[in-house]
Amino acid sequence: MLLRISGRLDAKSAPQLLERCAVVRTAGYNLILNLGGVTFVASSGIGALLAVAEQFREAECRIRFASLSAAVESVIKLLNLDQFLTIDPTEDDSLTALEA
Amino acid sequence: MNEAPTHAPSGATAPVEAPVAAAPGRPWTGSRRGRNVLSIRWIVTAAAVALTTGAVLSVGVVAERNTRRALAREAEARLLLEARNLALTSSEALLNDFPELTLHPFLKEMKAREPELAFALVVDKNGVIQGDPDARELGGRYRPSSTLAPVQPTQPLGAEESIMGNHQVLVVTSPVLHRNGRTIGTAIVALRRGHLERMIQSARRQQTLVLGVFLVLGIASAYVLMSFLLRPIETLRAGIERIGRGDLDTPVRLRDHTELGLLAVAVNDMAAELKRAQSEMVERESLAHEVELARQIQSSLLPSQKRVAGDFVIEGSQHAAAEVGGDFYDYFPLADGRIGIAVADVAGKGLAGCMVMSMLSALLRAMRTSFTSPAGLLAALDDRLGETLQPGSFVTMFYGALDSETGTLVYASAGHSPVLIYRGSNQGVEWLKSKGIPLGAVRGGAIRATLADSTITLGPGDALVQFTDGINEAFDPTWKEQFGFKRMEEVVRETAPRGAAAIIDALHSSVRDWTGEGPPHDDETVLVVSYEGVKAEQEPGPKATAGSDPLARLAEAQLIGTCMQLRANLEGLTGIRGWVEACFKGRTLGETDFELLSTALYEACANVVEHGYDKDSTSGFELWWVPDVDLTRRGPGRPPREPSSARGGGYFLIRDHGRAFSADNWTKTDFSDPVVWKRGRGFGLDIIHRAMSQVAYHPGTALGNITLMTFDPTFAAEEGKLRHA
Repeated sequence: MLLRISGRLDAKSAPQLLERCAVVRTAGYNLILNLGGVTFVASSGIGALLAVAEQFREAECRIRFASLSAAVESVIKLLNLDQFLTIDPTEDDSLTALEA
Repeated sequence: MNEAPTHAPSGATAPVEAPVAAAPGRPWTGSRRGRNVLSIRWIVTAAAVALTTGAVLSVGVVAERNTRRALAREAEARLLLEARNLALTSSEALLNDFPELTLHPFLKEMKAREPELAFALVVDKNGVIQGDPDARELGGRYRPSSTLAPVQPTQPLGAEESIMGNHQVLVVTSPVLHRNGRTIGTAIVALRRGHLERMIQSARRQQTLVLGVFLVLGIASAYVLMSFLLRPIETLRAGIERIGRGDLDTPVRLRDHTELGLLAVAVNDMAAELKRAQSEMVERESLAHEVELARQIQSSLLPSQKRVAGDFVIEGSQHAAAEVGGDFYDYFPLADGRIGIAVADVAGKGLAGCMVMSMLSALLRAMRTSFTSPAGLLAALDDRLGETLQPGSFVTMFYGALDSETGTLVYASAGHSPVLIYRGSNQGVEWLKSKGIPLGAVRGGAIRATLADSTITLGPGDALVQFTDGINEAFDPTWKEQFGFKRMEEVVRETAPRGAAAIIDALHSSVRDWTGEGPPHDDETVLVVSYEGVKAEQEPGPKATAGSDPLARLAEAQLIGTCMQLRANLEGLTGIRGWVEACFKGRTLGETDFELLSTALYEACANVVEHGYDKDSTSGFELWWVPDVDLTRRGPGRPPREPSSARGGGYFLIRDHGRAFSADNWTKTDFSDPVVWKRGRGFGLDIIHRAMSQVAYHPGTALGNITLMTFDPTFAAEEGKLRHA
């Protein structure tokens, strides 16, 4: 399953993201989150990404984050979280990785 | 809104019945009592009366005119007929010798039959009355009244016929005609106008009666109808008054199918809305109250003032965002004498962030004594917090332990903002980035691998600035640009020489200038560790200075130092020389240095004896010598290490319980000035300050007045040139 996220990822939109991902997760699919269109990410947005990663890990589904926008990438790097999230430069890389 | 206290929740509503509205500008007094209220009933009734009267009267006037005309027509027609009749009848009689014999009884009967006739007579061609109901008139002349005037006939008149009239009579004449067509006389019939008038009067009376009946009916029904319609208004008014008193639960019960019913529904809806709005407001106020309490609790977790440890000042400050938030900072003494320093930022704001902060503060308090390694402490915090943090919630945190003696800071950072270090020696700025991930970001202890203790040393003129992203991420009013690290650097570079408070104030106010008016969008927290040691006149020695925490030094002296007990008299001070010799046995100490040192110590003790005790020999005080041990690792309670080299330095400590005196404001004596030489005394302080690299006087501590003097042989040697010969 592929979800492309765009716009602001903040306290208001974070719950929506969590909900959408939860649907994917309970259906048992793996997920690629394309964050290329995210123009701004607040701490609650980062929190949502972390929560989703954790939930998918517990459910033993795979999740990969693709094509991080500059906004997302800079915050992730600032918090040294780039090691802990599975990040691919492009969607296709994620697809290839999941198919493997 | 209205200002009457009795009607606080409701709006100002004018009573429907009063035609007078409240005068603009004057507060609504809200009470109907004492007002002259003009009932709608009377208004409507008066209107009904006026209308009815107007209608009936105008109808009456028109009807009367028509009647009058009709009657007039009828009268004329009748008269004409009568006159013609009379003329026909008289035709034969007038040809006889004695016409009156026929005409008189005829006319008499006519008059008797129609008493409304004014008169009826027949005259011959000479104008002599030949026929008359009154026999006495016979043979007389007919003299019509002079006021008679022709009347506009409504009937077609024949030849020689006429209609004349005045106020009293209407006269019709008709010619009496011979068989051959010649006029032989005139028949005259007159009708009293009064008769007409009487008929009209009677019609008018009828009309007045009708009017009267209608009026009464109208008034009565108007009154009754209005009473009926207005009864609901009373119910409404009572209901609205009830609402005004605060009863929003009882609806106005009105089963009415007119607009008043709709009004009652509207009033009930309004009451329900008011009730809802009221409870919302109460809820919001109580929530605001709770938030305020939370904010107070949160700010009580922060240190209330700066902390001084040795030469370091640790100070923090927070400008809270409008919404209660999640920034935290603290500094506190640790068991080993170091100062723990923490700055943290919770992801997300609001009460949730506030509660996480409280948790963190409590955990830190509980755990800080158990961990000497900051990385270890942060990992443990992550463990504990991970149990209770919501998924997706995390905390970035910086924690360090400062050894104020050595200026060493051991620290670790869990994804927190980089630390800014200002170096006084070259006005340079370094940024130390964090490698750790935030607390609670990834569950299962993954944070451990990312955390590591780092060490930096702060010296004179240096400052460390830690902060939360409310500072560097503060946006300008157009939300385009952040304050950023570069600007922070500039501010710190400019203000660091002036100390922690100056840095903090400058950062806060620069950010304020940057963002413009209004409360901060995010908590702005700054914590500064700044070297602001004793501002001695001399340059501090090249070695790290003895941390001047007097009680710590006293404790250390008691542990590893050598003591000389002294009495408060000058004679006893002669033993100092010998004592110094003993202290420095086995160490390299030049002779001149030795002399200088002894003299300096003598002077220092003499000061105590003279100024502190007024030479009271019953009192005593202590002189301690603590030799120079490994200066990078010093602290009370820690066993002294082997001296790294026999450098011969160390510090002296005097502890006395005498009167504290002021040793401040000493300025270097200019020995080249002959005046100074002439004085001959008062050089004691001079000597002390030349022999000792650092002098610090701490009067009034818990354990007495403590004088600390650092002895650095290399320093003393440089000053040797200026020794008094």
